[in-house]
Amino acid sequence: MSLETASEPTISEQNVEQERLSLRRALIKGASREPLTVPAWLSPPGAEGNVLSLIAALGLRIRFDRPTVPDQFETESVRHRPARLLGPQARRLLCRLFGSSKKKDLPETAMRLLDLFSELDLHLHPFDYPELKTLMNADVAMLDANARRWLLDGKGDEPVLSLDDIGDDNWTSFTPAVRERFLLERRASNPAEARELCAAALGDDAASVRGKLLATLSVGLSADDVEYLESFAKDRAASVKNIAGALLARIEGTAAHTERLESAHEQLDLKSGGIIGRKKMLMPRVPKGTAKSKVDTWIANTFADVNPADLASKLGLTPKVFAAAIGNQTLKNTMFQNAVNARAFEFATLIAAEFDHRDAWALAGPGRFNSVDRNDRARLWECFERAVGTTSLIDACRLVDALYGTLRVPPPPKFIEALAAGKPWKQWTRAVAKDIDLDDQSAPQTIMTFAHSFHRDEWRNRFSELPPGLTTNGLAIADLLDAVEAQASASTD
Amino acid sequence: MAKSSPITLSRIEAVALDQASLNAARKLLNQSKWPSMEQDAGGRLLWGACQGSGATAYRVAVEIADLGAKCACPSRKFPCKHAIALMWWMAEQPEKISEGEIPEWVNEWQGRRRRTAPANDAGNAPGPQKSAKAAVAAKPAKPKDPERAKKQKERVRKAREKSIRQGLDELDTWIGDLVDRGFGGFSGQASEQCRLLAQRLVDAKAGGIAGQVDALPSLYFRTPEAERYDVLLKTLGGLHLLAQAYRRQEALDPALRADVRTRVGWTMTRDELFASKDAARVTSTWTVLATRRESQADRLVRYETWLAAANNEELQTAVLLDFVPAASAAGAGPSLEPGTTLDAELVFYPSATPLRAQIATQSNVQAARNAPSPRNALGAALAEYDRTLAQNPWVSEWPIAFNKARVLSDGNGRPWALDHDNTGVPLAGDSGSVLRGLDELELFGTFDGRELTLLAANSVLGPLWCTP
Repeated sequence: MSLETASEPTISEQNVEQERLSLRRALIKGASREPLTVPAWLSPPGAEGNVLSLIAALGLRIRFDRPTVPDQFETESVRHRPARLLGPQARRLLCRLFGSSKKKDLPETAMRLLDLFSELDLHLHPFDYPELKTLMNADVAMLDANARRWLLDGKGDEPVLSLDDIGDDNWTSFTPAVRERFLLERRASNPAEARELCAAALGDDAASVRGKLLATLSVGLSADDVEYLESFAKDRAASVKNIAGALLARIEGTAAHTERLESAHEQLDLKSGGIIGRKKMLMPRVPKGTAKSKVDTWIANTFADVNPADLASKLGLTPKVFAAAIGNQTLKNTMFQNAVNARAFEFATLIAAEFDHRDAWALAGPGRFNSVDRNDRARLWECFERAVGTTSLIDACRLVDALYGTLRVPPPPKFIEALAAGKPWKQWTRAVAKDIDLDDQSAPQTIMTFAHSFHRDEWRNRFSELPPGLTTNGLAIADLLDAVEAQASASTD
Repeated sequence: MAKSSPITLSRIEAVALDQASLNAARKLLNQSKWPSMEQDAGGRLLWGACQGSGATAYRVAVEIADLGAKCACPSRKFPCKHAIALMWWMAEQPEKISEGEIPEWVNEWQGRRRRTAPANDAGNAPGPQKSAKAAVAAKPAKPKDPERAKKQKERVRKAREKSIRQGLDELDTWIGDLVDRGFGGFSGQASEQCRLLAQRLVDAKAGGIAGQVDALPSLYFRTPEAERYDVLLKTLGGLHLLAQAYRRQEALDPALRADVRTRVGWTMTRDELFASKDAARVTSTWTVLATRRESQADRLVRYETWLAAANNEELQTAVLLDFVPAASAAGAGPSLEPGTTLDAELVFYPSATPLRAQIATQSNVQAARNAPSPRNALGAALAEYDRTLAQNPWVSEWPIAFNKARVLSDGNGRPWALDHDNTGVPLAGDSGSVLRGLDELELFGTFDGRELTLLAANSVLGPLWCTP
């Protein structure tokens, strides 16, 4: 169809454009208010002055317009590392488990997977970002630079910086979680440098952020940190002062340490019991009138950051006797945490030898051991062996799952072997099939716990006994872990 | 030796809702209707694709243990006739079912499934008796007098033509009134007035134009304010042009006439299309670039499946359309996944610019490594778009493909696709943002004159198949 006819003059671009602009006002106001004059060359024969023909011609002309290309574009700083991107099988499985069509989140499983990818230096494929937003939002700090930039681009005032470029000169521009991680890693390799970075940057942040960053000094804590920690005695926030005080209390030789130890010693009752009076029993001397609901908090606060080795020495007890004598669960857990903080793992193991599953559950919780080095966290599994072994199979499975969420390190094989063999396994699968709703998202987490490669094939054989939804999701997670680990080992060969 | 089957007719009779379901399923026991039928190595699952009246075949899956089933068809019966037919194939001709790897969509279904009660033998089933034997014995309906039917059809056609022309006159009057009142006042009464006119056009049997009028308010309001005047001009101008073309359709080229009639609301059934001598047929290896889903005002959900093939070094594209009632659209959808290839004969609806097609035959569905490479850069692709528009002024969006591209963001953060001489088009949505930082991209998308909506891309990181 053409606007040209044999007997009409050729319509030039300029003619049409001029008419369009001059008629714009008339069309907006209305022909009843501002009459439209249709040029002769725009009227088809027999329809001279036809306004609708004018509309049709102009409308068609506009369809050939194109948007004006801007003069300038943003400089692109995205850099891809194709060899570190997840492979096709892992991508497919991730999208199946976490794709946008899923109605519910799997936040814990998502965090564990991102943790694993980060550890193996594998990254989400950029083409999957829109589909995997749920997964990416689980732990933004664990994402690689490109993923983080894509997710945060245009949101809020936070600058979008490359995590690959984080350094001493720009670390303060990142989120508190990332800054905390940066300092923790630096403390592990160079405590003095980390302390200087912290000291230079802590001025204007809110108390919660200052406290979080200050707490990173718990890694590699030593007498060299005393002067800096003592400078917080006049901090404007009580919470920050308390954190500094707690750290000082852990450093032997400081006034805070001596004072804390003395105070803890005074609040303990050491009694003898048993038939012949040989059994020792350590109980906290809770002040009279303390409300029942506040007792545990009082115990945790009073005995926080007291090295159990120092306390045992002051009481004249051997570590073994001290550990066996602790008669209060909250006191036991507090002493355990103190031993871990002080990296006194043998003492921690002694205390944990008395743990039952209730003690273990009381210690399970996200973030509890965040400042503990990964290798040390792996060692802590030994402390829970008795607790896991002295409960029912179903509870043991759930406890191991909860501890995995706390320690963020997979359990050693012996924890899994005992739970995966023979008759107890059948009982567990029957219980799982009966108890677990298909919408219960804890099922994949449990499968993650047991998806150690040593046992993955064993688990695959038994998945058919589970309901279809769990089977498929469980197999998908096992396949995903296989694919990711295979890719990681191939890339290091 | 024939394979033994874990599915029996008595089990099928037990799960079928009624005799009508069995009768309908029986009619589907024709292998030409089943481009694929497969089962897993463990004999646990069955799946396949059954060609219905839509452009793409319906995906069907059955879990053998309890005869739980899933189908993408819009039927509200469960199990539907397609699922029953697949079970029937397994029961009577299991050798026709090949072994294959469980596809992702079946795994997805399994991942969400709850177990149903196992199917009992027919003897325990409640309700009226259903019989597979009765379905086999059912006689077809008596054919009507063909001459009488033809005359009736012609009467209906003439009446509709008259009605449509009346509707088009109303349309022109409406546009003229709007011009008199002025475009400036459109926004205040847009929704109500467009809805009223659309209803009258539906009554006039001009459903195609009615849909365009009904969609005008939402198009207008989602356009940036500075461009709304142009949107009105384009849309109203296009509607009047269409009305005029319809009135003079005898003078048009047959292919363009077909476009005009389709845009007004005339449809062609699948059988009519396949019987048409004007329908172009193309056999090739097609790559599924993308699928899209759109809810329409007429309570139908429209599914688009975009395909491309490299034919004689030229890139050819096609779109398959399926329409499903919104009430039963959940779980429905095209059977072809983006990122797959298939050998297929496509039959194109007659048009001055053929694009919409139906699949006549298909086989050999596989995963695609990449989309077929385009030969042109962006400038040439846009010139091709202009030529298409000149041939068919009612094209709303058109697929284009170009190479040597990159994606950059402008000062407002909007992604643009650019080639080496800085010819560029803005990208719709956010799928383009994942392509930043990559050079020498090959991009495929639909262009509406203002922006490009990505369908797929080839890159050094592999292909991108844009999901809706």
